[in-house]
Amino acid sequence: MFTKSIFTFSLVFFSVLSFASNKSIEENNTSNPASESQAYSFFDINNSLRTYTSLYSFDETEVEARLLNVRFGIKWENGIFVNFGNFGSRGNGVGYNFYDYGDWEFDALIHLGFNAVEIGEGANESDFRAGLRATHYSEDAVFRIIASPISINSDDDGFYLGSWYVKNWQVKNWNIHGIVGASYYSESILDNRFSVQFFNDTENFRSYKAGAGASLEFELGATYALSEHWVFEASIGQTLLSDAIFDSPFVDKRGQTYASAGVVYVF
Amino acid sequence: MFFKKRTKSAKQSGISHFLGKAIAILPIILFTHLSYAEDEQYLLELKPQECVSLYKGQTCHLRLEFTFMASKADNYCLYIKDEGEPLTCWEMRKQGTFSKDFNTDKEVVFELRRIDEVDAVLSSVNLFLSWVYQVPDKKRAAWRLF
Repeated sequence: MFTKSIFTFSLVFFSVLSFASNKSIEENNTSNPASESQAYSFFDINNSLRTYTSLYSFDETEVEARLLNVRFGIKWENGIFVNFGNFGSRGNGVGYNFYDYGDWEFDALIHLGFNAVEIGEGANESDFRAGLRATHYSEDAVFRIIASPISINSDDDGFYLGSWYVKNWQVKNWNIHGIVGASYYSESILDNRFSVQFFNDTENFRSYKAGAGASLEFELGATYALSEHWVFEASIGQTLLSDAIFDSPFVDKRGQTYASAGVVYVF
Repeated sequence: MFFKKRTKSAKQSGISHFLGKAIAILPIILFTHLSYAEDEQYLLELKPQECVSLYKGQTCHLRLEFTFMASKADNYCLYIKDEGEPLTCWEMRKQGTFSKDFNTDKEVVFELRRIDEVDAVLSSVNLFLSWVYQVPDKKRAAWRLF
């Protein structure tokens, strides 16, 4: 695992070094769209109430207060960025923006694939993955696709492919967004989260081995600026699970629903 | 002793100087006050005076409430600076109100003028804009949604 981590970080920093020289040349060329890449930094603190149904049959519907939940996005002039948005799971993470072309951005990225889960007698680890991310920006929409073939903290890499389409609307001073997304998980990723054998808990659950699968997600949200620093945010969302996940004896719901509302202080 | 005498003399001289100046200035003060009282006065108020949007450059929507007051009744109009057509006019009024749903992506100056003397601005008020995210486009703020 240590070797794998070294390999992944080397990959990212190799990207940094190899593209840095190209980038400095491109930035001198004003006619090249790559020179549009700019540094930025955002930092905010979210305070909200969130309710969601758990994937796992042994968990009840949860209501949690998210207080002082920090979100931030930083991108330096050299292309390195760190960004953690709402949940950090839609292709946000740490990476290097190695190429910009017009409305397209291409990045090398380390991101969180799955959070850790504790089931029966066992617990898995959070799945940190490395891959490539492409994002297209248009006037009121963003399309993002991420392919990550490397697991940083697991010997079995698996393959993750995620894509999202975000559409924004402005209704008076309300900013409405809709998100449609799909995520594909290879067998090895789902196996150590939804297979009964992985958790050595065959006494309580029937035998099951998960295969590969794809899930869909939908979100509708609204944001309203209360002042220069305070923002109101609300969203509702639904995830439709793949058969590979739904068939697991740990799971008793076809979908996962969530809703949240709260205020954010933006620095 | 010599020092004391000199001090007293200087003090007396200072008082005389002050009284002299006061007598000279008094008519000017009185004259100014009287002419000010005769001047026409105008007041144009706007609520709210600020509109906040999420991103810089985004159109901001709000409902504006204008109030005007003048010292004498006349024909007045409300204009946006540098625009020819008035938003509304009041005929032979010395005060009035006006409400309007408004949207803009830049700071706006509203002006009170007479109908028959549109080049003279009697009173003005600014509508200021501010933003939460000071970014020129939504591209760099997209991380929030993911």
